Amino acid sequence: MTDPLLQASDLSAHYTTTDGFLERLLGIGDTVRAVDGVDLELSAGETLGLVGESGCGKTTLAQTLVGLREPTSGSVTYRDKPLAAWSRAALRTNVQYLFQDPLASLNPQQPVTDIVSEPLAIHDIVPADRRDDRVATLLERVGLDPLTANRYPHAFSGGQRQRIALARALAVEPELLVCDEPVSALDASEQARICNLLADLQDEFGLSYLVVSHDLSVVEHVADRIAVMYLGEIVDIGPSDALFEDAAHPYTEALLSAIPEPDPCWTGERIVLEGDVPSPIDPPAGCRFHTRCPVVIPPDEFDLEPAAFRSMLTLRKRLEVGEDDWLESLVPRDGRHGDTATGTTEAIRDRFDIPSPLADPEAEAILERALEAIVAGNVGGASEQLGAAFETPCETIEPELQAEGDHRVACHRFDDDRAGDRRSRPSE
Amino acid sequence: MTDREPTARRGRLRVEGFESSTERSLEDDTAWPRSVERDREQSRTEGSVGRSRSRWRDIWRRFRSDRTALLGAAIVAILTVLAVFAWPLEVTTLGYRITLQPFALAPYDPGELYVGPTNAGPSLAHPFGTDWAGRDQFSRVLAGGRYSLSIGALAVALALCVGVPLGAIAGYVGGWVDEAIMRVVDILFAFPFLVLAIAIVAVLGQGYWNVVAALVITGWLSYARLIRGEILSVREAEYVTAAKALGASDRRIVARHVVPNAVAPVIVQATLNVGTVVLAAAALGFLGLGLSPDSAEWGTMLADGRSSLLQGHWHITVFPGLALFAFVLAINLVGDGLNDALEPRLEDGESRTAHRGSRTHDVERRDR
Repeated sequence: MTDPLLQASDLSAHYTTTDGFLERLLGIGDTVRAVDGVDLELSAGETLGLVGESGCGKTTLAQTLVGLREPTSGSVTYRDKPLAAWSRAALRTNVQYLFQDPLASLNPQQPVTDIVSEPLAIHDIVPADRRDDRVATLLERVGLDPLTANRYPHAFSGGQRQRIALARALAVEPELLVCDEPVSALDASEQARICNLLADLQDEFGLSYLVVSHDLSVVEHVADRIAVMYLGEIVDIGPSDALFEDAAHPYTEALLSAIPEPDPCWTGERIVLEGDVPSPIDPPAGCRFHTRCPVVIPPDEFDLEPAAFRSMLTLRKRLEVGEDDWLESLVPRDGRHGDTATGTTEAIRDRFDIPSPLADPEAEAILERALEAIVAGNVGGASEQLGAAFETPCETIEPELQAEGDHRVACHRFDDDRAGDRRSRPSE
Repeated sequence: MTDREPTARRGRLRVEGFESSTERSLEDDTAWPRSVERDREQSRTEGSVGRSRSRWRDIWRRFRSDRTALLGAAIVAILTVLAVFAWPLEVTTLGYRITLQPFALAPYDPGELYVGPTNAGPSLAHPFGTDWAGRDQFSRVLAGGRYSLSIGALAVALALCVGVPLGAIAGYVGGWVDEAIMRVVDILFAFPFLVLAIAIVAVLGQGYWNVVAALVITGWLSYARLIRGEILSVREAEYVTAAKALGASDRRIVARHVVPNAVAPVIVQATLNVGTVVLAAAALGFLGLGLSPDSAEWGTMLADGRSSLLQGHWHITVFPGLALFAFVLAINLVGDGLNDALEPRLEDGESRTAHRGSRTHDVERRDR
């Protein structure tokens, strides 16, 4: 492999939520770990797709990679030289950034000519008297009528605005273009056209792309390699074919299953992730995905189905939240189970889809004791009992990215001593 | 489709038609429904494809197309010319008398007593009649514009000089500086505008410059608050980040992106405020706190005419009042037109009326 064009090592970017007079005075505020220890590299001429749910830190990562945001720790190098060591002009003529919302990223007070010629003026790329011609060439290249260059951004459609933004980014003849959700603000047909335009421009100018998107189908269309991000970390990275053929990380699998399929005879299963993305202020310990992972690893001591263990883990996470009158909200008193203690434990099992009884008698005994403690009102005790008895590596040990076939995955199911677990993938 | 077996494999069905080859033919889709012909025409006459026009020329073109705003501008211009040329303007320094402006449109000296009968109604000799001291009302209304207009222009200009830098600093620097400046603004805003002005004049005493000072002290607040808010929002705007990503220097970002976007509402507000300030000066004059009672200032003339009005001499208050009304109305029309002209998004006719309603309303509410 050739030297990477852009490389990030152990990159973190945190925000503080401190805001306003009182909070500043008292020094309160939380740290949002938007990007947390990311390693990433991008080779010349390739397109790297970065996908993830909204709020997982994609945009922060992309902006940190091009130096629009200072990293909290870690480093970014472009052509083996740290970003800070590059002069502003040299860096900005090599690395460009395409924003998500083209209307917001174009100054409403400037006509298109001024917008597109601004980089030419800043870096003095073309002498002033030839700038208008250069702008016309650029606009034509991205598929716009140069005669409309005197108009203001508001007069254009979404796709046309994104083309203007693209023309502006291309004006400096960059090597690397970081596209932050380049098509998510556009309708489907315009999405496809912009994707094709990006591909054409790559062939023509030998560009490298980093394409950030929440939409795997867009990334599939343009990317050579795909990195999957969850809560500030890269969990899965590999060539797009490999990723689509044989998704390794359970999160990637869930994302893939969410792509709509037009085939009416398609019988693929849709994996629905429970719950919301946890807060990046206080991310879960161990594997950050373990709170929602459908195939979280059961403890070795017991013989448990992954699904049953998932349900028990969900129950325990709910107990840890410790809301008031949570029992009432959990167990509707509809009289189906009666008001007895046994009835309530059954209702809890029903609610969380925990099989009754569990396959393993020893585990069943522990669970039953915990459920009785809940009914007795000792919620903290129950959660502690469950936590002590059923310990999963997903919750305690942070997984490292490790090679698995063509891609690298951060998941404990691919640990060497756990090769057996992989065979029990539910989607196969 | 031959294979209809259920399968979990993806991609058996593909949607065609978005490939690059088909895209070429779709390119004509990028239709330019309106005014593209105008652009073409213009490019042809200017002899170059897409020659850039300057921002100010664009603004002037938009302002020019607004008839009511032009009417307002014309009234303001006429009143200004009349005020300047109403009576010779002389400055006395070191014993020398320098005549800055020798013309006199007014038939009589506005301060001269008993040029005609007292309290006479409008006649050919005195078109606006005469007041209780026999002074010619027409001359006084013409010359009175000097006070009102110059107080309005000066007070607004000085208030801008105080408010804009302070607000801009508060918005840029943030932190403690911001807190300090904005708390002062809040405290001063807690007083009703006119009451504070009255209190200041009461402390400083009567006189032209004291009235200006009172209006500046009460007037800079709204500019500071307005520009701070604009700068806060523009600073976070994505096009500022985009300019940074292009490698623009801070100075360029401020000059090309922050100022043009933040300053438009301030210009509009300042224009509208000229009217408010003239009214406030007149109100101070009416309350006897403005200029000395015999000076020809519109507000003072109204105050003088109050007793005459009770005696049935309507003309003494009506003409200065009309002048005041015409000027404030004209200024508001101009401000309204500027509001539209400074906002390229309002260029297309149909959205204009709707948008204007809401914007003007906003500005006016901020005024209070």
